[in-house]
Amino acid sequence: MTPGLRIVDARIDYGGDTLLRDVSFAVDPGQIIALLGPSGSGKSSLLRCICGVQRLDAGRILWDHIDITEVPAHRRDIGLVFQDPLLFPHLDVGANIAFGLRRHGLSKPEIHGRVDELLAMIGLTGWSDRPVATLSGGEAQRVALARALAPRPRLLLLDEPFAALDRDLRERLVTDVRALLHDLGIPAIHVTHDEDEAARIADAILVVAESTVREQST
Amino acid sequence: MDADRASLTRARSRSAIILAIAPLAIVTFLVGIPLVTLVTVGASLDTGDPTRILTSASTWRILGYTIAQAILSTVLSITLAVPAAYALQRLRWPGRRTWLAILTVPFVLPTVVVGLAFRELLPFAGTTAAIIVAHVFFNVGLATRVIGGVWAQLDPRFIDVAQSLGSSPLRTFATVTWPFLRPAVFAAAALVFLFTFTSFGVVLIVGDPAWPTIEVEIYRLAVQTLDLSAAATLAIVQLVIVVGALAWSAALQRRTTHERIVTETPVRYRPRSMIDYATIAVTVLLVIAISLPLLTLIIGSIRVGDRFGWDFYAEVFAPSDLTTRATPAWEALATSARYAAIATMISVTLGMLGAIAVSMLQRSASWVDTAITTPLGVSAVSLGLGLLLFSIYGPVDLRGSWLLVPLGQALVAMPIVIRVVLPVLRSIDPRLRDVAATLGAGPVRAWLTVDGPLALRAGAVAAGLSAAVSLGEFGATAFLVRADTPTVPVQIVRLLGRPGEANLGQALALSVILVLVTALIIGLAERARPARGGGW
Repeated sequence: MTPGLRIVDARIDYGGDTLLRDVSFAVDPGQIIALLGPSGSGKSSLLRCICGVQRLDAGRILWDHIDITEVPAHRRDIGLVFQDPLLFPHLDVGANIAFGLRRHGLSKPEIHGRVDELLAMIGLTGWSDRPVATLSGGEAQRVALARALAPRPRLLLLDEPFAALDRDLRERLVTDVRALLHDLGIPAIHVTHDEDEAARIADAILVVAESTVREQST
Repeated sequence: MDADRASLTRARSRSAIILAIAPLAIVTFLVGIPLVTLVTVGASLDTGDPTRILTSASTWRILGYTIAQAILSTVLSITLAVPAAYALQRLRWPGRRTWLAILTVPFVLPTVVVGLAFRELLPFAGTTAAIIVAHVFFNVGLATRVIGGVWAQLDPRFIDVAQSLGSSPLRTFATVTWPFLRPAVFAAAALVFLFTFTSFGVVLIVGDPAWPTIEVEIYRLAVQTLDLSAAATLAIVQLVIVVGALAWSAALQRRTTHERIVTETPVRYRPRSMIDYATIAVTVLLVIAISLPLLTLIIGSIRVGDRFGWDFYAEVFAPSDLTTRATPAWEALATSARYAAIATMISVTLGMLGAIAVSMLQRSASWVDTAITTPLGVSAVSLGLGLLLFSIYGPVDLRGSWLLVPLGQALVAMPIVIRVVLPVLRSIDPRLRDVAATLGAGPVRAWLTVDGPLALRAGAVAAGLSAAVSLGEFGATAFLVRADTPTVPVQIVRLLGRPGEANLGQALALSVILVLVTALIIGLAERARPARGGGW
């Protein structure tokens, strides 16, 4: 078995029905996987299970051969970015990005330094004290990305993160994010229903269809 | 364009003010003026100085005791309501809706009935602890509704994001959920404080007679010692404290209110952690604890000596002892039904007008809202006292009028109508009216098409609540009702004041009937509740 993430024989139910079954795939270190599929097919539920906020109904999740199926979400070090930025409205930009740094035993100056570093990385240098309500959609989404990257997750889950943005911005962000993830060496699963976007961001494409996940046939 | 818009807004405000005239006038004449003139009128009645009551040590003891029991009741109610709100609004588990309904039942129950149930059930009746337990029973459902209604709107993905950033459940609650929930918790706490600070029936029946609250003292001063000026002074002291508490809570809510992070459709997850199961356990225990007093009532009403039977119910409808000073109990039922019907018509009409007006207003909305909700902050006993004084000294002599009792009950119910209808009207997207206007509908037709159907449904829910409140109303009614035509709650208290098993049994039977009628009305009205809005 290779290191990285492995999903083994996963099943997810919804209501009384089986949403996904016999799901098995791997994400290798540094690899970006696109998960393609129509809405309601269970892509988001799968991401929720991988990051630990939802339970698998059967199957296992391994990280570097260690079973993390029962590890609670806050101890998994798996980052999550949604279609909506979901920035905490009562915190400013800097505090949003610093939210995940609390557990890392950093001093205040270290946290500030890390926040500034991330702001520079997303091209928003000096925006730390801004209230999140003043950000545009694209800016907010970039802050959400910085927030997810701040604690240096071992895996990043992107649930249609660009779907709410206009086309130009989306294309630019797809390129930026791909470069950023490769630079940092963080593997990712990118959920989308846009085939072009999947092809442009990912190293490999998986398709959700007929209640399971398969490699894309060419 | 802008000038057009401005004139449109002005026209809207003008119509809103016209709609608000009737409810504002009722509050001004029947609550404002009587209360403001209470002290002076009272002073001219008696020889004493109305402020003498303020310098008496016993007044301060009563005040301290009233505040202390209200704070304890509030803290305990909120502490239990938060886990219950979580379990009922964030988790998916069998019977969720039913548990929520059962938790809400006590709020619409007549205070007198609740008091009686606890007197029968609690081994420590007649103590402060009994008052607090009864207050929690009464208010925990309302608090759960207010807090849970907001909690259901919190987008669960915020919690997911926080946890994916390494935040433990406890830290996530403290740093993400709590800032969002805090305004609702303060709002609920203010309401519970309001109701427990001015509670009357419960304190009268399960409390320690040596330790009255302000509300009971006002009643005692006005009805038993006929010291109207002292009663009025206390009523004003009470009002000042209530208004102060409400203002403080409103300020706390304003300071913490931020842009809502809401979701349109509430998402509920299967319980997965120990905390989840713990909140469910708390909720189930709460539901059991709330069902017990009701069961006690029912069992008490059918236990005759050492057997079971319908004797007390028979006595209610066909009294065997016609020589007693008593009105047959079924006559009280008829009286209650008549008063409640009139009160409901008045409170729903005025409350709807008020809610529509407030929903249309922009800048002056909050003071109109505050003004017509004032009766909620005035205790029922003070409302009764004010109305009584108005009918003695006011321009219209209402004494002995069939309108007096329903007016008092309507004043108690009107703020509740507003709290039910207003959130529904406010949840309507104003762009829908704009769309209607661009399709050629005038303002009235646009309102009737867009707001009308929802307003009608919210009005039906409000009518049910209003009828239930009027049926069970005791504080104001006790003041205003004529001795020969008691309402059911008044009759229950009278029966309790008489010795013997038969009288207690009849009181219990009458209570059960009142609960059944109340539950039936609420059950019917709730079917009309719109899915959105999140009012009471």
